[in-house]
Amino acid sequence: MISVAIVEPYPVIAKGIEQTLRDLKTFEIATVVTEHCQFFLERVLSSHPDILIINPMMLDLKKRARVEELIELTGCHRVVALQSGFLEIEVARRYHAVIDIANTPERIASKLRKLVETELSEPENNELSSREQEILVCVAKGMMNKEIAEKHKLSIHTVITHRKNIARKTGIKSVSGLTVFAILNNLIGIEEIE
Amino acid sequence: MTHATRHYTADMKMFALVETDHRLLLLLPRFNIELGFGEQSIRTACQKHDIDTDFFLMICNIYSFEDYMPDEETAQKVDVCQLIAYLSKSHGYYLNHRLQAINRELQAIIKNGEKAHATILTRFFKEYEKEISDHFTYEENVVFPYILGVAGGHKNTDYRIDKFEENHTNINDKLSDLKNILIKYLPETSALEERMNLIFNIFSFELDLRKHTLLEDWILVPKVRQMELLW
Repeated sequence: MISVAIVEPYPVIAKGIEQTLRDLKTFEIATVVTEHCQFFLERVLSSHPDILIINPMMLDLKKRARVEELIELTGCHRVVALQSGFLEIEVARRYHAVIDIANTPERIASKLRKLVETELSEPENNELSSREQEILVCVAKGMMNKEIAEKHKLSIHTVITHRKNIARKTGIKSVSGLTVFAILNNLIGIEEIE
Repeated sequence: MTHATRHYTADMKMFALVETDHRLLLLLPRFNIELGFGEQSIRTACQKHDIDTDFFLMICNIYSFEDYMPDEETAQKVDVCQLIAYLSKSHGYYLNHRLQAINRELQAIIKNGEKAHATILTRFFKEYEKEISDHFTYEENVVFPYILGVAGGHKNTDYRIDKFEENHTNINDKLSDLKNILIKYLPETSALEERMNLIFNIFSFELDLRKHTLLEDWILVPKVRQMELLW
């Protein structure tokens, strides 16, 4: 079974894609997000899909082409654009595939299957990105999400998502565990924590 | 019960039980069962030690089989006082034996390593110890006396088991963090053997705690809630 997360603002289209995939039997639906809420990335993250199908309209104009950011925030490495109206070619080519609501179910299925069969270019990199390291240091110093968000000019939700990624990559959930991790990796000195 | 054959039954021999799952050895002291049981069946051993056989089997089944979930009837029959006695004994074992052993082994591993590593890990473990001991103390001093009161027919209007559920914190995160730190992140120290033993011990403690929490959440809480409804 290939699990798919669907992020699409129009409920009717989301329902249509969901049912089309269910009818094809080889797909299961990890989550469907329709309403425009700021938590949708977290919902995708926690449902661990093989493929994320997203209508780029769900994203701010300037974020639509930043597929790497979507990958980092959702942990899903195959991101497919769902096209229901106009989609800029520069945006479309950043995605791993594009499906159009005019496609037949068979065409959609073959695009998705092909995507899963293609080996990912590299296994998931569990090294923390430099942004994640910065946030980890803040966490180790005992800073609250709000303080971290202000310091790095991020939204609280983005901070939370980064923290989830840090926990997933390191396998460490508690703040004190992360502090140990930061010391063992020389990201912070023992004198810097109270 | 469709899976009955895959779970333990009263006619099974005690030694077969332990041979099937040696982790169950850890539970025997909590029932005051000692080794040297020869050809005794589970039923005989339980009778000898004044333990309800179904209760003993239920605990062993929960402990050994991930897919086991006691049926309604078994859960109904559980004597709350017996369950609390078991949970309480487990607390004592965790605090007085398990945690101390883990701490001893941890100290042996970090004493020759970098000083900063030793300091931060010692601090981490102290925090964990306090967290877990606060958790158990609350259960021993507030929750269990309340439940025993309810079982004895005393109404208590100040407390409800829902309050316990709200505060039933996760005591497994830090332990799993410690395990991951020891496996993945603490640089080599001279004490490889000790480190392996410690990791084994943490795995086993983790399982023990997980099953302990299951007993509280699946059996204890629903039972008390039912008793409260009868007021």
